[in-house]
Amino acid sequence: MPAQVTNYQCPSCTGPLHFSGSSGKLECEYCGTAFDVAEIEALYAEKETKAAEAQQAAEKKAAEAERPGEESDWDLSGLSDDWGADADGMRAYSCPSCGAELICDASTAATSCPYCGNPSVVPGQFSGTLRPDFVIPFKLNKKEAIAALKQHYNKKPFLPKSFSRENHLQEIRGIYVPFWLFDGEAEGDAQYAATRSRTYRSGDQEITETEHYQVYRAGSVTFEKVPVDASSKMPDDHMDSIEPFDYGEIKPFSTAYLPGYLADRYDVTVEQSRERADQRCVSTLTSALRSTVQGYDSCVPTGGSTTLRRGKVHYALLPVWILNTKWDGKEFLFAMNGQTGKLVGDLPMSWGKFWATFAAIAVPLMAIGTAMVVALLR
Amino acid sequence: MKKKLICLALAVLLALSLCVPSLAAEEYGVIYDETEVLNSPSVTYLGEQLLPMISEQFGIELRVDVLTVMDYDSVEEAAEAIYDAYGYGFRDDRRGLVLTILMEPSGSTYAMEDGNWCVYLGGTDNSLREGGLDTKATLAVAPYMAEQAWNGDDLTVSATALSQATEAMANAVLDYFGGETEPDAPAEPAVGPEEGTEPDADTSLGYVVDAANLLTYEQWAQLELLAEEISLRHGVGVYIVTVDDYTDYGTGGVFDVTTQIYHGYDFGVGSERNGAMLLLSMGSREYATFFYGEKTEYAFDSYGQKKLEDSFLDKFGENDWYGGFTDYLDACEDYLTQAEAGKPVRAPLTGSIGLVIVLACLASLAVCMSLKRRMKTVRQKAEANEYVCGSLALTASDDRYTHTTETRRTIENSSSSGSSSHTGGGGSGRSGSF
Repeated sequence: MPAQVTNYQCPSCTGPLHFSGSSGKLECEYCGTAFDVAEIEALYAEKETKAAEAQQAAEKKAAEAERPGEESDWDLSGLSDDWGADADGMRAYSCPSCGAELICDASTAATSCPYCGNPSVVPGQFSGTLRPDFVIPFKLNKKEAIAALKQHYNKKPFLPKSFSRENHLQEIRGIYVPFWLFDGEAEGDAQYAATRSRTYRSGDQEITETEHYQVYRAGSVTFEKVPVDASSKMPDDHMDSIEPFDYGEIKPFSTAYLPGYLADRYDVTVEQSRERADQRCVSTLTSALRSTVQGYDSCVPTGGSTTLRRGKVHYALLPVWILNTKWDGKEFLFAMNGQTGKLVGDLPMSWGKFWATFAAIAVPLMAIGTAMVVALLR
Repeated sequence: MKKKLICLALAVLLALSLCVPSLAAEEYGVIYDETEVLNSPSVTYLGEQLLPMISEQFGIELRVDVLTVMDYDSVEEAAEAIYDAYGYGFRDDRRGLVLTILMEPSGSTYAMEDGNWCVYLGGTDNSLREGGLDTKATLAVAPYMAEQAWNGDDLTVSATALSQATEAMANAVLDYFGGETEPDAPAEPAVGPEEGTEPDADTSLGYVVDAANLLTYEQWAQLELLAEEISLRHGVGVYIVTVDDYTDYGTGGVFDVTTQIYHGYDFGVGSERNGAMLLLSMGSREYATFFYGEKTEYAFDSYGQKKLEDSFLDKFGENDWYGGFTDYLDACEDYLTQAEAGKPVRAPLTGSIGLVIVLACLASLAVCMSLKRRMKTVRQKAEANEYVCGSLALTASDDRYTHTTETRRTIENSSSSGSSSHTGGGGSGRSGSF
C-alpha cells in the first residue's frame, strides 16, 4: 500500500500551517493568516480529487507511452518495464498541480513537487513504469549544491537583495531526470563557394584580384549517447546547459542509487525526442565539414545533404539538483549537474540597480570627458 | 571820413575772407591739416602717439604740415618761415624735422603739384645736417609723394599716402638714431636665404604687397588703409602678399616660404612681432596663412584658422581678389575684436560635449550589459560535439578553382585637393589651393 504523505501549507504564502489550540484554527507560521480546519480540509479534498483525475490521465498516457514508438526506426530492444524484485521497494507519486510523476524508493518521502512546489502530492501506481538502463549516481550532496547556488548568486550586482534568502536555498531537491540517450551516425556532404583575394597597388590604382573556388566535402560522424531529456516538466534548455555528463561514471541501473532522491518518470516518447537529437547531430556534422575548409578569405555554403543512421536508444536517469523559486510573480528554475556541479539558472534583475550602476559609470565619465574637452578647446 | 572807415572795414573783411582757409584747419596731434579731409585712424595715431613718442625719445620734434595756401615762393621757404614763426623744435638748439605739403584747392578738392613738398630740418644742431638726416628722411618719404596719389582724384588715397609718408619719416628718424651710425652702411638683405632683392636701404613694406599686380591702385590703397587701421588698432599686423611664384622668394613649400617672407621682411607689430599673413602664389594658385606671436595665436587657434579660410577662399575661386582680401581683413578684424573681448573664436563646445555624453553612455551601457549577460546562464545547445566518437571521417574533399575577378579603384591624391594645417617658423598656419 503506497504511503500517503501530505503536509498542509498556507494557501497564501505556502508556509507551514500548524494547529493552534487557543484559536482552534490552523495558523501559518510565516504570514500569521488563520484558517478554519474545515476550510483547509475542503481545499485539500478538492486537490486530491483533481490529483486522482490527473493520475488516471497519467496512467492512461503511460499506457500509451509504455511502448515508446513501436513503429520507430530506433533500436529499442534494450528497454524493459521488468523491475524484477526491485519493484517491491519502489513508490510512485503524482502532482495534481503540474502533473509530474515521481518515483522513489520506499524509504524516501515525497513532501512536495520538486517542479512546481506543490505541497501535496498523491501516491500513485508504480507498476508499468519503464526500468532505466543506466544511471549516473549523485556525486555532489545537498550541502555542496547549496554552496554552489550561493556562489551563483555571488557577484551579481543587479540581483535584488530580497531574492537570495537562506531558508529558501534549503528547498533544493535532488532528482534523477529521465533521459533518452541516442546512438547513431550522421553522414553527409556540403558544397561551398570560397574566395581568396590579393590587393596590390599599380600606379594610382588599387587592384584587387579575387580567385573563386568550388569546394566539396563529404564525411560522417558517429555519436554515442546524445542526451535528450524525457521529462516534459524539465525545460530542455536547462538540461542542455548543465551538459555534459561524464559517461565514464555511468552505471547500469540499480535501485540502490535512489534512496534520498526522487526520480521523474519519462513522459516524452523516443519519437518526440528524436527531432531534438537529429538537429544536434546534423549541426555537428555541418560544423565539422565546414571546419575542414581552410585557407580562404570567404566561404559560403551553397548546398548539401545529410543522412542519419539511427542506432540504439537507452533510457537513463541523470542526477540533477533543482530549485524552483517564485519571486515577484515570476518563476525561476535553477538546475545543477549532480555529477559535475555545473549550475545554471537565469537570475532576476533589479532595473533600479541596473540604472544606478549605469549612472555611476556614465556620470563620472561625462564629467572627466567634458573637463578634457573644455581644457583642450579653450 | 565815413567813406574811409567803410573802405577800411571792407578791406579788413576782404583780408579776413582770404585768410579764412588758412585759419580753418584740423590738427591731429602734431599733424596740421588745412584741407580737413586727410584724417584717418592711422594719421591720428601717428600724429597723437607715434610722432610725439619718437620726438620725446630722441629730442627732435617731428611734425607734419599740410597747407592749402602759401605766400612764399617755394615750399621750402614756407616751411622755414612757419618753423620760426611757430617756434618748432625741441631743446635749446630747437631740433626738428617737418614734412610740409602744399595741396591747393582744385575745384571741390585739393591737389598737390608735383614737387610741392619738402622735409625741413630745423634747429642749430649741424650734426644732424652733416649726418644727412634730412636727406634720409626725404628719400624715405619720396615714394609716397607720387603725383597720382595727390592729384585730388581720391582724397582717401591721399590720406593713405600721408600716413605712409609720415610713417616713413618716423622710420627714417628711428633708423638714424636707432644704432645705424654709419650712414653708408648697406641695408641687410630682406628675403630668403638663396634669393637676393634690390639693395634698397628701406626694406619696410606696407601691409598689402601686391607683387602679382592683382589690384588696381585704388583697390590697393583701400586695402592698405584698412589693414593699417586694423593692425594699429589691435597691435597685430595684418598682411596680404601676392606673388607670381612663391619659389622665387624662398625654399620649401608655400607655407615655408610664407614664414620666410614674414621673418625676412620683419613683419609683425610690437616686440613679439604679432601678425597674421596671407600669401597668394598665382602661378600654382596656392595660398598660405601664417600666424605669429602669442596674441595672434590666441585670436587664431587651429579651428579659427580653418574657419577664417572659409570667409575668403570662395572669392579667390571666382578670381575676385579685392573681394577676397576685403573679406580676409574684415574677418581678421572680427577675430581680433572678439579675442580682445576675452571671447576668441573657438570650436563650439556643444558638439564635442554631446559626443562625450554619447560615448560615456555607450561605455557605461557596454559595462552594464556585460554584467547583465552574466545573469543569464541558460542556453540551448545546437550541437552534440561532446558525444562524437573519435572525429569526423572525411570521405571526400575537392577544391576546384573556377575563375578570377579583378576590381580597380583609383586612389585619390589627397595632396592635390583640400587644405592642411602646419606649424613652423615659430607660428602656425594653413595652406592649400584656390
